[in-house]
Amino acid sequence: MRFFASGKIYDFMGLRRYFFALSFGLIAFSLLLLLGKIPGIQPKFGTDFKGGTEVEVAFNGPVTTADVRKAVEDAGFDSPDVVRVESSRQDNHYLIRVQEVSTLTDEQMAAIERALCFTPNLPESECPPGSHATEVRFSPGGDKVTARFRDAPDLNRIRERMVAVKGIQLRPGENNPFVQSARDHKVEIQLMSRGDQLVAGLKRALGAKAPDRALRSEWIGPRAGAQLRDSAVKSIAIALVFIMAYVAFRFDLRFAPGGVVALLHDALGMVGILILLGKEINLTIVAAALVIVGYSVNDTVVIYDRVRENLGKLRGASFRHLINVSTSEMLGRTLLTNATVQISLLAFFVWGTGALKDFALALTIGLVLGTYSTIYVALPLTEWLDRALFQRFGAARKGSETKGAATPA
Amino acid sequence: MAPNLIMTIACGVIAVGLGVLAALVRARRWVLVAATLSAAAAAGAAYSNAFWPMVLLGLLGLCIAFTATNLLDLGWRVRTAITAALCTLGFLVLWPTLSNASGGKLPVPAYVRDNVEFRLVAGLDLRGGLRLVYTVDVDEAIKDKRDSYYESMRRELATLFGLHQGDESPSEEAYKKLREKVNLEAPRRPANVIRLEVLPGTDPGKIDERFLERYTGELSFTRSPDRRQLEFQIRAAVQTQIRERAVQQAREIIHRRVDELGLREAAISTRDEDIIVEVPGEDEKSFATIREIISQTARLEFKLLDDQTDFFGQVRATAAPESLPEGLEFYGEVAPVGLDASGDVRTNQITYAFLKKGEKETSQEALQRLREWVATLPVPPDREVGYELEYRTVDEVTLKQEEAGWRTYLLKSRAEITGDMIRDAAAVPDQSTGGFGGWYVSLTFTEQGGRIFERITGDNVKRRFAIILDGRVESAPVIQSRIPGGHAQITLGSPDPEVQLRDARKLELVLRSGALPAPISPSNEQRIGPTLGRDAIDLGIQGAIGGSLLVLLFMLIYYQRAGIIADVSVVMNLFLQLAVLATFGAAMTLPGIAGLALTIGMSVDSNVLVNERIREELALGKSPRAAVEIGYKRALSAIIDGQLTTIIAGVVLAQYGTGPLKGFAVTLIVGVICSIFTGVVVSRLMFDLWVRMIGRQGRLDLG
Repeated sequence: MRFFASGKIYDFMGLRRYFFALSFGLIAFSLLLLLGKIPGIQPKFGTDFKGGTEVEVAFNGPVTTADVRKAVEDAGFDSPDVVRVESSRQDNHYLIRVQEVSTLTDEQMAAIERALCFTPNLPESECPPGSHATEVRFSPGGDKVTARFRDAPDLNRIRERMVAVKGIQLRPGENNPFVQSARDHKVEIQLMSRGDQLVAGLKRALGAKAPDRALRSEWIGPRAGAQLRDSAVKSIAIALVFIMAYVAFRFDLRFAPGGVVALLHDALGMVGILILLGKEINLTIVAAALVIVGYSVNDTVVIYDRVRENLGKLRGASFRHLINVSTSEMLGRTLLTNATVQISLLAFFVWGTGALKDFALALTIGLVLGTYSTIYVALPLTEWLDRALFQRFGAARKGSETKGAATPA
Repeated sequence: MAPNLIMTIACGVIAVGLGVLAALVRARRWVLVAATLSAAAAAGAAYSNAFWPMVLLGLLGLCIAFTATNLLDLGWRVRTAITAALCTLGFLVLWPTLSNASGGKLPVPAYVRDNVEFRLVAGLDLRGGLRLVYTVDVDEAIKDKRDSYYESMRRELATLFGLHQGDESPSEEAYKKLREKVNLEAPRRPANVIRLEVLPGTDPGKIDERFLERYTGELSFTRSPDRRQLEFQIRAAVQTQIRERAVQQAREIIHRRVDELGLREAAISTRDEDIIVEVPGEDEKSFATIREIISQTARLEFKLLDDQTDFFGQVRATAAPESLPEGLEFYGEVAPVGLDASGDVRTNQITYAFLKKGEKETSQEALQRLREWVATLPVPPDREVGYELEYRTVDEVTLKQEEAGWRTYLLKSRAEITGDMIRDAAAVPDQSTGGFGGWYVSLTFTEQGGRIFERITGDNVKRRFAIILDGRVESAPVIQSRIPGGHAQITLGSPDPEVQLRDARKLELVLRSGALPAPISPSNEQRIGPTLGRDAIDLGIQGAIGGSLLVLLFMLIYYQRAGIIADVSVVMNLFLQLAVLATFGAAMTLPGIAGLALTIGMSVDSNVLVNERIREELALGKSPRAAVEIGYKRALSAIIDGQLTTIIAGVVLAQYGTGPLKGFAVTLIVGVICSIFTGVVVSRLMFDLWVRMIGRQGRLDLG
């Protein structure tokens, strides 16, 4: 079985101007999308980048998205994200995401500081001498408060005052608050995490339909989120540099920029299209982008390899012709490999849920872009570079081009 | 009959058979002799219970014997033999895992199960579990250190102004007077600064160079022109050191706690200032315990030893031998028990029990056994038994150690000193040896702790005391003299400075853990429910299998007979990839399975490149043999270049990625490397065989 007759040469480069323009349009548009500069379409970043709390819940009975949203809002959360997860096993499966970065607002922190008599100039009736905290710290996740006191603190009093603070709940248990270090009277108070509060809120509002426990609960502090994001950007940048160096070393310098621009085009274009489709940008998508970086460079390098080989075979042919020949020769392989990878992803597309499905979608988009960018981004750029360099410096090659007879295979 | 004897006989029979063959056949006799020797060595390895040497030597023998056959050419035979050997190894590695996955339908002999330690385990997202990320609060650690400089400076100043003398801690009275002369302040923010203000009426010249010199090693300072305002700041290098120590300490503490809980499967890793704990399972209650235990403060205690009573000597004399736990032995030692009237050291011959850790048990399980036994003994009132983990050096050169077992001490139950009475501890090189190695641990107490320590050391000169962290004896040094002033030194027993340094570091960590509780705070928590896990694992595996089957089918349709070759190499790629992952001890995560499916798709690429090239060469009219030869040669550079760049992306991802990304990256790298092998070497073997079979005139059909 064959997709294409062998020996036929297609004029890919004839259309390069239009596609080149299209590609740069895609890069620019994706970049603007990613930076949130396109009005009306804002990129949605996942909890892993932004920080926040995410809870996955399977309800025991039928509930609507609106019910869940209302229950979550009643529990004191602003603008929650409620997504129904399509799952073959559980009908009432929801993903709830609350966008707050920290679980304690500034007012709550102020109220806690006041409860611990840390706020200066409180009346003595409220805070008798000796009950003043000398230091109050909040954990990044907002589920722990530590305070230092000058004298041994009265834990019962602290507990009573903390319980009275609006919007926070103490984690149940005997040992809360407790003295973490007797040396400097450091007291730790554990609060209910956002996930705990959320599930408790659902239970209150929906009764028996709500499960006792979340299937999965996750929270990421804002600092960890920022670190994750930075490391993702860093890893893509480092991968690009190494790949560029490798291509420059294995082929020559004029091939490298084309390959790297093609990579950027694929990764950015993929993210752009996903934003346009309203998908969330999270770590899974970053992983997909890196796979695409690997795949796209593979695709580009394989055709570069053929161009390099044909450079020797078809001495004197124009670079443009060379590209047409090489691309045509490799067309069968390009489509076949792309098809097999697509097929192996197809199954995840059909059976996958949530993250896995998005991953497969991202890869599918990326694969198409990767194949396209080899032909219409990497190769034209290389040709242009070749022209720019050799017209200025390479009189020798130009000479051979006019003399030698082109012998297309 | 023992399985290793069966294997010995099997290897022996092969060796004898090959030997007979070598004696009868003249051609390639020496090759057969080599194979015989290898098989005999395998039999020896089997006899001495060395499993992997036996497997490797046995396979080597068979490989050598195979190269002595007449099939095709030597190169083909060597490559085929290596491929077959790798497949066998891969199967052996995966055998127990496959058996588990099939629910016991695929039987696995106990001999293999016990000797093949590799298992492909399901990752956290597939099994359900808890993933906790703790961030070390470095600012807090720096602040703690600053506070200890502050204390020292305050005391130094009190001495400087003549308000205080001697090694003991100054009184509150002296500090009160000091406050009239200078203002020493440790501000809340920035936490690495100490401010000193010389109040009017006091001569700023009092703060002389000698005072400053004491601190300039670790603190830098700026002074106002009138010399009344000084600001000290902890040097950057010292801060870095504090940071590293804080992270190490926190990791060590978490490790110890998780170990203590006996969670074999919990994994702990560090990344920058993060400590990641992963616990598989679904027991909500045990998660709560873990959270609680990790966030607890370390409990450090000093207890005096009772070396006067030879408790275990009595136990040895009276206990029935069969009542002793397995691996328990008694040893004698001479312990110092104070001074006699003339000031000489009195000693006492005492006995202690030592429980050797069993081959297959963890040290925690051994301790449990020892504890259970001790619970049956009549321990005197106000006394308790302490346990110390002993190590044995397995390698004299690298000083690599391994846990040997637990020894006992008889302790007085009263904790004389607790962690909150200790301010700081540090491993310090011993200057008295002239800089030639030698380390000790320097210990600083709080004012109250210093007073208690002085009294205890005064009353117990030349007796031993135990340093106990979280209920485990870490060290039992001898008190050499009364120690006033809140500073103590603990010298270490070993004569080797390398060992001293290591022990000093360990003890420093133990003491600091009690003194400066590792400042950690949770920064990320994920709980993955098991229901979701089971769903996910089914879907993931369904997806992977479905995808692979489709790819195999597609290749078969497209390339027909050559498609079989491609399919065999793709399946083998998957198989080898799993085996390599199992030997790494990698956990299969959902992204990992996705990576697996993806590499299946991509491993086809090598075959596609080669097949397309062979088609091109055949179209140019080349003979099948030449077409295969040139096809592989020409396609190689494209395959290597393409796959290497993918590996680059994978390595970067593995280096900088976190958690799930890392698992995916490792799968991707392993998959690509395996696919180069199967795509270039394995498929070539089949093509060569095929070409040979159809002969010169035959037609190579690539669909």
